[in-house]
Formats: sequence, structure tokens, C-alpha cells
Amino acid sequence: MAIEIFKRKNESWHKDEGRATWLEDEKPKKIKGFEFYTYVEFCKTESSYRQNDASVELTSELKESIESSKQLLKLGDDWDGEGSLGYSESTLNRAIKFLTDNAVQFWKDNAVWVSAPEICPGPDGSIDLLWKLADRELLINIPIDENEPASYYGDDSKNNNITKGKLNLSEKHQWILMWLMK
Amino acid sequence: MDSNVADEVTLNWQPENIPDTDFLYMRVHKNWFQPKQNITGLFKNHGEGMSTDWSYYATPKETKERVIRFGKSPEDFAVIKMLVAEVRAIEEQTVEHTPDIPNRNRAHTDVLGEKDVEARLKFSRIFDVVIKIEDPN
Repeated sequence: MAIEIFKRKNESWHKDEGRATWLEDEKPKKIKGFEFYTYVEFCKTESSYRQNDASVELTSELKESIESSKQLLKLGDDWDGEGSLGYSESTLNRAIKFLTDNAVQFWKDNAVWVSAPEICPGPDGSIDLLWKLADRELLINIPIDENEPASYYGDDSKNNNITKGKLNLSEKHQWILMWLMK
Repeated sequence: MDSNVADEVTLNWQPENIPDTDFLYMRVHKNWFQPKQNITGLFKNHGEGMSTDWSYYATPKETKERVIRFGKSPEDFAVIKMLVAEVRAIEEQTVEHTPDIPNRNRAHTDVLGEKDVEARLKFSRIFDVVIKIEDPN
């Protein structure tokens, strides 16, 4: 499994440093003054939600949010006394994949990590990703049906700067995190 | 007077207009309040609408204890309140007094309208908890 790490431009760094082994003659990807190289050695991290080559280490805040969301899987049917459905691993994993894929891409594009959302129970077995920041709030709902798009709505809590619509979960949508973090 | 006849007279409840200045009470199961959980998912329709109690005919305690009729424990529920004007200010949401005669709940009120992500986020901004889980009342 290959993962990407970054180092500052012109910073000296031996190719055998640490556990890394570098691809020979690799051209670094340059993003906002940072250079990205590729590990060819499997790198162990605590995060079990690393996706493909987007294996930068998530912030502790994001990891904590993901870790605490696993509590949702303990909620069986009728967990709220009102007949609500429980939460499936499949739906939770899609929510986490959406979050991590877009958070990592956002970081690669902007060298900034997005704030961690609250991953909380949605209606009818769906899962909500909720960001309540000082200036903006955003709710994204990951449906139980993997063929359905996610729904989202965000504003500044004064009904300004509204964004609303559907997201195809098979695509990346870091633009919505850009909207959130503005 | 025969008690059944008395019931029929007493339970001839008609829908009334609910003023903007009144409140709606709603039960919330304790599982919604696990650490760091938000209740955006709470706001959804059961059938045609979202069930609440009108404050004119119910107290928060009565709303909490109404679950006894359904064989559930009131201790498992908190109660929140929402100002009717703020509910009506959410797009597509209407407040309709719908007395529940079979369950003898004159306060029963439906909040009608689709509970999409926009509505749910806005509901999550307008409630206050009036009975916490740990409160004896």
C-alpha cells in the first residue's frame, strides 16, 4: 500500500529516513509550497479508515469524531422508543469514507484540515454529518440506500450564504468543505 | 351519568388555532443524548406529521408521562419545547392542532411539512430542553 507524506520545499531529507523508502526518480507533486512524495513501504497508522492512496494522517479531532461514531452501531431497531431503525455498518462506512476522502482532498488542496463534524443519528437509519462552526453550519445526510445521493443544507444560521442540494457519494465534493471553511 | 356517555361529551374536542406565542412539547428518548450526539435526526414525520403537545393543554411532565399508555418508561425520556412562531418560520412547516381522541390527548399537535435537511438543521436551533433525563419530574 502506498501512502503520501509531505515535506517542505528544499528541506533536506534522506530517502532512507525513518521507515520510508522512496520511489527513485519520482517527481514530487508541488502544492502550495509543499512537496509530496510517495512511500512504497506499507505504513502502519492507528486509523483503520485510510482510503486508497489518500493516506495522510487525519487530525486527532477527525479521528475522535470517527471513533465515537461507532457507538451508532450499538443502536438497534427501536433504539429511541419511537420505532426508529438501527444503523448499519454499511451506512456508517459510507459516511466515514465521504468524510475522510473529502477532508484529505481538502487538505491536499489547501494545506488546511477541515473541522471535525459530529457524526450523529439521522432519520430512518440514515446518518447525519453536522458541522456547527462559528460562522457556518452544514448538515449532510448519508442515506441508508447506497444508490441514493446524500442531501445537504448549509447556511450562516441567519439564512444567508445558503447552499443546498444533493451529492453523488461516488464523487469528491471538497468544494462543500471549502464553502464551510470560508 | 354513565361514564361512557361522559367520555363522549368530554372528548368532543375540536381543532383550535394555536397562537405563535405558545409552545410545543416533544419527548426525546435518552439515547439521543448520548455523549456528543446531536438530535437533528429527531425531527421527522411519523405518518403525516411530527407529533407534539400544545402547551395550552399539556405540561412538559404530562408529555413525558404520556408514554406510560404505550407501556414505556417515562424515565427514559426528556422533553424539549419549541416556540410555535419559530416552528412556523421554518420553510414549509405548519402547526395543526390534532386532538388525539383515542389516546385522550387533547394537546396533540402535528407539525406538518417535509423534514428535509434544511428543516432538520433549523429545528435543531430552536429547541430548549425543559425536562432533562436525570430530572425526577
